[in-house]
Amino acid sequence: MAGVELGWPLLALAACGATLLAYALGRRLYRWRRGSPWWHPAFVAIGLLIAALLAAGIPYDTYFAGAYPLHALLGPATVALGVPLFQEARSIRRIFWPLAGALLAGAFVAAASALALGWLLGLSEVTLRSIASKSVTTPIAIAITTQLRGDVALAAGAVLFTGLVGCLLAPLVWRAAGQDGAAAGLALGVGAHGFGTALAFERDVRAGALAAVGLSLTGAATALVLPQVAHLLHWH
Amino acid sequence: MRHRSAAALAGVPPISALLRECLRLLLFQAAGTALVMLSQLAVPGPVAGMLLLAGWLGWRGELPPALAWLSGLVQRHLALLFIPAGVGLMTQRERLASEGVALVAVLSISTLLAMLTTVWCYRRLRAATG
Repeated sequence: MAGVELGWPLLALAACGATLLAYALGRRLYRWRRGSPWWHPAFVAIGLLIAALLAAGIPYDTYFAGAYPLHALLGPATVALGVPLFQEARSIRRIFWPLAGALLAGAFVAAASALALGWLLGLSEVTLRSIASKSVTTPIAIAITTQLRGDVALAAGAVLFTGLVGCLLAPLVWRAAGQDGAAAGLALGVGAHGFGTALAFERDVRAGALAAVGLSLTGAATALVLPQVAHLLHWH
Repeated sequence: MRHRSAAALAGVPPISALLRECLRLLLFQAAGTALVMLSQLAVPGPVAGMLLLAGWLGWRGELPPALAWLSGLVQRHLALLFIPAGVGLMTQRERLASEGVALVAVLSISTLLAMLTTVWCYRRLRAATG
């Protein structure tokens, strides 16, 4: 670890500072590209940081040790997702059963189809462990993947790519939903987590609210079920 | 607060309230983690904390304004927090070279299937329950 002799506080300052800078640049580019999902701030920031680290010859472990404070905030950030869940609880009470059924079916298909297709196409076991949570919001997916002993970086990449695909497929989802905002919003939240939720909110508030519920509950349901399934598959 | 530049700080809750809500999030994370450890369930602690927080808010019946603000901030900038993990893709270049094409296919098809299943089930169940 090249940075250790600098002392961790200095390393943390450099790594967190670089991450914030890359994120700020990413946001600016995203706004300039008018919110095209290809230019999502996370993609841009990750790309910039990887390029910078490779150019400077800094190993990932050094960077991650410094950027750890930001990573550690994923925990409280996940807890904060309980707030939208509470806020929307009142509005979803009337449609509870269709919502619960569709959400569980969608979350199941998201994980099961990724595992089945991946297995058919001969993906390695570590890769399968890392993409099982691909439709779940990143902080929860990272927590699940840690538990499944997959690769966390690969999981984060798979989640981001899934969000991108979800946004690109959104017009198809709206058509399948017959312009029913609730159905489309829910599907975007379940299948494409935060990316889909942001897109649903842009189109209409009701769709956004259901997407937010879909996002939190898909995360919770997947986190509750996947580790137990992995246990049955002797993945532990 | 004398130099508060009105526009930039408008709607920001008092710092004491914000600190209290930050502490609350950490406490719920700790409670979730403790619950998971005690029950030996293989569920991530923060996810248990999220459900506990939603349950607590439901029991309390109202949302502290500072918590609403904080949660909004966190949701808007969630992407910042997963950048450090995402940069780890630089260690996965070999895997991406060998499995990348299959991965793209799997993730794309699976996402389409999941979203269409959700739409279809929702509409069927909605029609069935009236």
